[in-house]
Amino acid sequence: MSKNNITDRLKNFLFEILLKEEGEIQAEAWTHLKMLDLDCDDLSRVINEIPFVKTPYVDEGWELFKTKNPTKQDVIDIVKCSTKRREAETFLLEHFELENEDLVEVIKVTENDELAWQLLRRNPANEELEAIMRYTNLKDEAAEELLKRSPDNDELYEIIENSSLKLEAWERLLQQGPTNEDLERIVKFTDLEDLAWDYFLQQHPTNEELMDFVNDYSETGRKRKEAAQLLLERELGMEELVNLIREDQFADEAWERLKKKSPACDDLFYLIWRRTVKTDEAAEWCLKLNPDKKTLWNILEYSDKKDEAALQLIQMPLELYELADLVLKSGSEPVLNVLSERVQFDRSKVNEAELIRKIAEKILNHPELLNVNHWHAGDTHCLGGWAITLHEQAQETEKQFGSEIAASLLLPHYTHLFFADRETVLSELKEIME
Amino acid sequence: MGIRGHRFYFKQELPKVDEIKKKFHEITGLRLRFYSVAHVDELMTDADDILYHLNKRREETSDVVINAPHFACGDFEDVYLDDYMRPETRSFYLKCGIGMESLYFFDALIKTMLEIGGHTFRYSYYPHEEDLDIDNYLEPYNPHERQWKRIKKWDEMCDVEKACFKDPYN
Repeated sequence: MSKNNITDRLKNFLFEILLKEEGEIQAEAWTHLKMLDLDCDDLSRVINEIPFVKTPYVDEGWELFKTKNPTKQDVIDIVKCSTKRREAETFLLEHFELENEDLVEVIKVTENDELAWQLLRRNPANEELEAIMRYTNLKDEAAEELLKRSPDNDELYEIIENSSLKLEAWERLLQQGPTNEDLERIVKFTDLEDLAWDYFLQQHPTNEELMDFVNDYSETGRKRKEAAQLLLERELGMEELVNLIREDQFADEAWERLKKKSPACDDLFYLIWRRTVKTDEAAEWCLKLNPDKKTLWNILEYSDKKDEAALQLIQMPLELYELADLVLKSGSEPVLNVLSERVQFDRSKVNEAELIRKIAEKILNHPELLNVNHWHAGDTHCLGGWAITLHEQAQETEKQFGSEIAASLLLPHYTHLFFADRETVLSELKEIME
Repeated sequence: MGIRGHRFYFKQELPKVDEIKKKFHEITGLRLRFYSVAHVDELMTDADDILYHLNKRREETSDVVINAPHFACGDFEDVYLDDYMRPETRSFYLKCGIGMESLYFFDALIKTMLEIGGHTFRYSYYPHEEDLDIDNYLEPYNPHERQWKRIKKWDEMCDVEKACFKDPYN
C-alpha cells in the first residue's frame, strides 16, 4: 500500500472520529488531523455541513483553508454548502475574477442582489437572467431585459412566475401561441391562474390533459374539481373513470357510469387494492362475476367483503398455508368446516366460550404468563398459544399444521387477538370475565 | 427482475457482525454467515474498509453484485448489504431479488436487526436541512404482529408454516 493510501485512510479514520465523537476524543482527532498536511478538499470536509453533523472546528478549519491557496471552485463549493457562506463569498470577491457562470452559481445560493447587479451589467445570457429572476430581488430588471430579446415560451413562463411584468409576458405568450403544457403550469403555479385556465379551455384540452389537473401531482389543488367536472361531460374510458374514483372526484357519478360499461374483475382490481371510496362496491361487483383466486384474495385483504370472498375461495383448491391465511381473515363457519375437515380436527368437542374463559382466568390471575410476541416461550404463551396448550388434540394439530391453524380452530372468534398487543389482549380478556 | 429491500437506521451505532449472528441463531436456530471483500468484525468500523475494497473491485469489474457484502444461511438465497453509509454511517439497506423461493431468511434477518435495536427507516436519501428529525422516519417495531411472530426456529416449524414464506411475487 502506498504512503498516500495510508495517509488517506488515516485521515478518513480521524474524520470518522471527528464527526461521531465529542469532547476530548474529538479534539484529539482534530489535533492529529491537522498534522497530516490537509489540503482544501480535506478542509472542506470540516467546514461543509454534512447532514445531521456539524463539527465544532468550522472556524478553525476555515482559517486553515484560506492559507492553502484554494482555487476559485474550492471557494465556490464552500459558498454552496457551508455555514461559512458569507465569509467565503467575501473571500471569493476579493481574490478572484468571476465569470458570469461563477456569479450565477453564487447567486443561486446567496441570493445576493449586488452580485446580480454586476451580472446584469455584463450582458448576461438568457438563462443567467432567469437565475437573477428566480433567486434575487432584481426580478423586474432581469425580466425587462429578457423581454427585449424575443424570449421563448419557457422564458416567458419564468417572467410570469417571478416578476411583476407578468401581463406583458402573458400577452407576448398569447402572440407566440402557448401550448397546453405551458398553460397548465401557469394555472398551477402563477397568479394568472384564471386567465390561463380560460385560454386552456379554448384550446380544447384532451382528456389526458384534464386528468393531469385531477391527479394533481403538484398538490396545488388548482382547478381540480373543474377539470373533473369537464371530464364527466365527455365520453370516458374505464381507466379514466377508475382514476376519477381513485382521486375521489365525483366518485358516485363515475362509479355509476363505470358499472354501465360492465367492468371485468381486472378493471376493478386497482380500485379494490388502493382502498378507494368505492372499494367495497367494487368488491361486491366482482364477487358476482365468478372471480379468480387473485381477485378473491384482493377482496379478502382490502375490502369489507371478507366473508363473501372467503366463501368463494373455499370452493377452490387451496394449499393449507392459504387456508391458514383465510381463516385468520374470515373465521366464518363454512371456512372453519373446510379447514377442520382438511386437518381432521373435530371442532364439535371444543367449547370456545368455556375455553376463552379458562384462559382469561389464568392470564388475569397471572399476567406474567402472557407473552404476545411468541406462540410459546417456555411457560408463557400468547392467547392462541394458551388455547393450544390447554387442548391436547390441538397440540397434535399444531405439530402437523402449525400454530395459526390449530389456534384458529379453537378460538375462531378471537383470531384478531392472536397478533394484538398486550394491552389489547388483557383488556378484552377482562371484558370477557365481566 | 426487481429487488425487495429493507432500510435500517441504528440510533447508536451499527451492530457487530457477531451480535447479528448470535441474535439470528436465537431466532431461527440457524447459522448466519457474512461475506465481505474486507475482513471485518463490525459493520460500522468496516464501512471505510469495505468501500475502499468495493471501489477498487468496481474499477476491476462491472459485476458489482457479486462483490457486494452479503449474508448467507444454509440453502437460502443470499441477502445483500448495500448503501450503508448514509445518513451518518448508521443506516444500511438489506436487499434480495424478488425471485426468491422463500422469504424466511430475508424476513428473519430483518427481524434480527429490529430485535437488536435497528429501526425500519422510511427515508432513502438525505432529508432536507430543515427536516432533520430522523425520528419522523423511523417505524415502530411490534414483535406481536403476524409478520414477525410467525418467524420461529426453522426446525420447529411444520411444512405448512414454512410454506407461508413463499414469495407472493414468485
